[in-house]
Amino acid sequence: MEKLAAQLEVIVAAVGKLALADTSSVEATAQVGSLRNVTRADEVAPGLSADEALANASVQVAGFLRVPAIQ
Amino acid sequence: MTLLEEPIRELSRRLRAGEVSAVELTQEALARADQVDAALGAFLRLTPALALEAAAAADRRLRDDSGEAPILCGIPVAYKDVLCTKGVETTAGSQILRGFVPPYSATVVDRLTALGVVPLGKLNCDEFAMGSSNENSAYQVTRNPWDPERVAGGSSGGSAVAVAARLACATLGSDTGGSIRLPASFTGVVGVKPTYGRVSRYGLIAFASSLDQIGPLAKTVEDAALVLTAIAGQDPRDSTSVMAPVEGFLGELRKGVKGLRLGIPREYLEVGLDPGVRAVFERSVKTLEGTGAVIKEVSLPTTEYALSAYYVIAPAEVSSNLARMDGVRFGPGFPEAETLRDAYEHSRHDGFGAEVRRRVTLGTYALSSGYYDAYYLNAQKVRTLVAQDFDRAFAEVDAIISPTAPTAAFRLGERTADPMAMYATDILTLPANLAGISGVSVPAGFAQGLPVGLQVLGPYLGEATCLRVAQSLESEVELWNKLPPLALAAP
Amino acid sequence: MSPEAQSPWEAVIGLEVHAQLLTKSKMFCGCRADYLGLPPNTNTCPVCLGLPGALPVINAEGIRLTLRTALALNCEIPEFTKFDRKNYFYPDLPKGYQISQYDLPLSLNGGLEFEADGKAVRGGITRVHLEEDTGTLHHAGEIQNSAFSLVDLNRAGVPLMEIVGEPDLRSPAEARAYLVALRQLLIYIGVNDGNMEEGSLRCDANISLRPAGADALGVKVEIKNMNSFRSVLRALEYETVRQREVLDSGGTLSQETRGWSELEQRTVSQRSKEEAQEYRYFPEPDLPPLLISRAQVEAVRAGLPELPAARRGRFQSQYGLADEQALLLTARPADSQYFEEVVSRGVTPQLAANWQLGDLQGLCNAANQEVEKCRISPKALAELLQMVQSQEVTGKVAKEVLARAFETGASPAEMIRDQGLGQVSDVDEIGALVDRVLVDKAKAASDFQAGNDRALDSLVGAVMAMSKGRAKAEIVNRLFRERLPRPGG
Repeated sequence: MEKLAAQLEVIVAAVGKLALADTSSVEATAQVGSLRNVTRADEVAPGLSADEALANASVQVAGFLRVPAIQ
Repeated sequence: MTLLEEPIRELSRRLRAGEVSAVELTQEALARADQVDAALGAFLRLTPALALEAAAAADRRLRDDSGEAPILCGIPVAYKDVLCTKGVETTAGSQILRGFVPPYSATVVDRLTALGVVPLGKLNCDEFAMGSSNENSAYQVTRNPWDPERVAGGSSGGSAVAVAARLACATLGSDTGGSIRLPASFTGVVGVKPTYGRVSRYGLIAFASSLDQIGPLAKTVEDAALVLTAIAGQDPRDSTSVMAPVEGFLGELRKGVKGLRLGIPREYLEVGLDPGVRAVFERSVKTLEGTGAVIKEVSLPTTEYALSAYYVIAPAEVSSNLARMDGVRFGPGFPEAETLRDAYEHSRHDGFGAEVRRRVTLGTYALSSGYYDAYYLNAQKVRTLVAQDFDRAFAEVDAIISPTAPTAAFRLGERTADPMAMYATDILTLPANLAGISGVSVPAGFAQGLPVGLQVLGPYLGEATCLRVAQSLESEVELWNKLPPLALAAP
Repeated sequence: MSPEAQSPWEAVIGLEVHAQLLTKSKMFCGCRADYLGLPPNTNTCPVCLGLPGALPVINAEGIRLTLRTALALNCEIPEFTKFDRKNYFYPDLPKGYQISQYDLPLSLNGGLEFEADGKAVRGGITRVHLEEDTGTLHHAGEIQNSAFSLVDLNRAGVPLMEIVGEPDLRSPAEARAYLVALRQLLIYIGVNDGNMEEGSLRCDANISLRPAGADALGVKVEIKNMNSFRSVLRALEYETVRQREVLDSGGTLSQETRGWSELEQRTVSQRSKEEAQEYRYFPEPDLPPLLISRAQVEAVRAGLPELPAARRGRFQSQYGLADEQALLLTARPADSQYFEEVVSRGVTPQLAANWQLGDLQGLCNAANQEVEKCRISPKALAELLQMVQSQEVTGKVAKEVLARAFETGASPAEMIRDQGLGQVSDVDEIGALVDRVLVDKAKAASDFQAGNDRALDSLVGAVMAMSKGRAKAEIVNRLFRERLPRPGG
C-alpha cells in the first residue's frame, strides 16, 4: 500500500507538469473528430435470454442476481 | 518457406487453387503453436475445435465459390484477449474476468468470421491493455522471439509475437497509447493503429474510450492492409465510429513515395533515443529520400505535455470503465462476502493487478471534485493543443515519420519497478492517440540484433498515406521474411 | 389548523420528478422499454447488462420526447447538449456509472402554472434532462436489515427524464397540486403514463423552513419514497411539523435524506447511498454530443398537442361550459376526447357534459371502469342523447336505458326503439291516462284545485308510473292544469 502511494506521488508530480501548458485559448477535447447527433431509431431488437444474461454470474437465485447485504 | 511464412495473398491463391486446404493450414498452425508457444507465451488459450470447424467450413466455401471466396477465407488469425469472442473465454489478461464467456462477439470478430477466417485462439496482453511490455498480464509473460529474456512490448504483446513467430497470419490488437505499434516495433512486425473511429470498438473491452482503437498486426504491410480493409467501417453499435469510405488502403499501397513530403518532428528526436535506434531511423530516412520522398523538419511543441495528458485521461476513463467489474454479473466474485462492500473490495483488490489498481486510483483522483479542473479538464485541453500541433504539421507534410520507440526491446523486469520509466516507452506513440490520427509501425532495421520499427503517422483518416510510406520502406529493406530465432525452433 | 397557518416559519419546497418515457425501446439499446410483468433478467442485452465491451447508442425518440416536455414547460433549449457519466457503485447500476446529463442538459429555465387552493401559482423548472433508469432491487423487509438482495436488470436502461423544480412551492398542498398538474401535463403530451404505484413516475422532495419573509434558505432535507399524491402531501406535512418542532425548540436540523414510511406515517433518516457522494462527472466519451437546431425545436413545438390549461379554456369558451365542468372533463385527455366525440355527433355541449359527468361517470365509478373503456361508446351515448334532445325519449327512461346498456353493451338507441320505450307525446293517449288518474286519485285532484300545488306531483307521478315514464311530462302537466282549473292557474 505504501509502495502504491509512493508510486502515485511520483506519477501525480509528473502529470502535474500539465499545469505548465498554456491552455488559455483552447476548449477541451472530450472526443476527437467532429461527430454530432449520432442516434438510432426507436426500435425493439432481440436481446439476451435470461440464461445468456446470467450465465456468467457467480450467484443467482430464481432468475435474479444475488448480492450480499447492501446496508 | 513454410505456409505460415507466406504473405496472405499468396496463401489465399493456394487455398483457392486447392494446392492446400484450410484444414491443413490450420493443423500446421496449431502444431506450430504447440511446439513454439510454450517458450513464448503468446496464446492464453488455443481453440482448436473451433479453428478446425471454421477451417472445414472455409474449405467448403473455397470449393463452392470457385475462386470467388474472400481473400481472407481460410486464413488463420487470432485475437487479443480484450476482444469479446462469443462462447470463448475472454479475460483481458485479468483475473477479474477469469471464466468470463461473453454471450456475444466484437463487431471486428463478426466481420472477420463472415469472411471465413480461422480463429486460432486468444492472445496474451497486459491486463486490460495497460502496459508497454506485456509484463502486466495476470496469467503469463509473453517473451520476445528475438530474445526470450526481453519483453515483447505491450499491451498487444501476444498479438505481435504470434505474427513474429509465424503462429498466425495476422492478429488483432488494440492501441490506446501505442499498444499495437510498440510491440510491432519490438518484435519486427507491422502494426496499424487506425484513425479513431475507423474501426468499431463494439466488443472491445474498454480501456480508455476516447483513445482505444482496434488494429491489425501482420508480417507485411499488405497483409495488414487486407485485414484493416476487412474490419474497418462504420458500425451502428459504436456511436464513435465514423462513416468514412473504406478505400485506398490497398489501391494506393504501391504508389511509392515520390514527391511525398515526410516530416520529422524535432521534439521526437530529443527524447533520448538509443543510438542503435537513431541509426536505424536515419538509415530509413535516407532510404525513403532515395525513393523520392521530400524530408522536412516539423515541430510538435506540445509533445512535452502529451505524456502527462495521456496519463491523466487514460486512467480517468479506465477508472470509470472498470467500475462494471464487480464480480456479480461475471467474474469469480467473492462468494464468502457478507456485505456488498466486502464483495466489491475483495473481488476488485484480488482481481486487479498492481498496474490496474495504480491507474484506477490515479484516474479516480483526477476526476474527483477539486481536482477535475486541474487534471482531467486541463489534460483534455492539452489534448486539443496536441491535435492542433498535428493539424499544423499536416498542412506542411503528408506524413510524419519517427522511430516507434526510443529503444529496442528492454529486458524483462528492467522497468517494472519504475512506472514512469515504463510510461515513457510510449512517448512517441501516445500523441497520435490523443489526436486520434492514424499510425503504422513497420520494421526498419535492427539494433544489436533487436528489431527497430519506423513509425509513420498520417492525418485524420489518412491510413492510406501511412500504409503507402510503410510499404515503400518495406519494399526497400526487405525484412519481412527474416524470422526470429525462436520461430525457427522445431521442425 | 394546517401546519403552516400557526407558524412564523415558511416552508420552501422543490420537487424532483423522474418520469419514464413512453418509448418502445430503452435509452441506449434495443431492449423493450415496457418491462413490467416480465420475468427477471429476461429483458437485457450486453449494453444494458453492462457487459465488458458493450457500447451505448442514443434513442432519438428519447431526445424528442424530452424536448417536447421541455417545450410544454416553457424551457429554453440550448444549441449544444451532451451526456455525462455519473459514477457510483450500486448493484442496480451494472456499469458502475449512470449515463446522465450534468452541466449541459437538454433544457433549462421553464415553469409550470397551476392552481392551488383557488390561487394561481407558478412553479419554476430548473431543468429537464435525460438519463437512464437503474435496475430494481428486491429484499425481504428493509434494505438495512437484509442479508442479501436480489437484482433484476429488466428496467436498467429505460429512458428516464428528470424534471427538477425550483424551490418555489410554499406548502405541502401546493407541492401536491404542482405534482398533479405536472403529471397531467406529461400524460397529455404522451411522454409518460403517470403511474406512480408502478414507479413510472417518481417524486422526491426537498424541503426546508425559514422565517416567514426571509430570503436565506434553511437547512434542506431530501424526502424520498413517496409513492402517491397522498404520501407526498402527508410526508411534507409531517416533515414541516418535524422541522418546525426542532427549530422552535432551538435545535438544528441536519442536511440529510429521509425516507417516508407509509406504514409508520413518518419520515426516517436514511443511511443513503447519496451521502457525501462524489460522482466524478465527466463527459460520456462513447456518445458524441448533440446539436439541437432551432428548426428541430420549432418542429417539436409545432407538434405539441393541446395542453391541459388551453383545453380547459377552450372548453369554457367553445362549449360554454362552467369552470368546474371544464376542469373535470379535461382532467384526463381520454375524458375530453370522449366528450368532444359525443358533441361532434350533434349533442349540445351542456347536455353531453351533464350526462358524461353525471350518469355515465356514476356508472363507471360503481364499476371501477374508465369512461373510454366502458361499454357505452361515445357514438352510443350520442345516439341516446340525440333522442333526449329531440324528445323521442324522456330523461328518466334514458337514464334507465343507459344503466342497462352499460351492463349489456347493447345500443341504447336500439333498445328504446325495439322495446318501444320512446316518449309518448300523443295528447289523446296521455289524456286517457290523465282521466283515469283523476278518477283514481280524486282527493289529490281536489286538493290541487283547493290550492295545494304539491298534490299535482302525485297526480303527474301516477301518470308517469302508468306510462312507465314515457309520457311527456310537459303534456301531462298541461292536461292536468286544463282539467283542474284554478282561479290564478
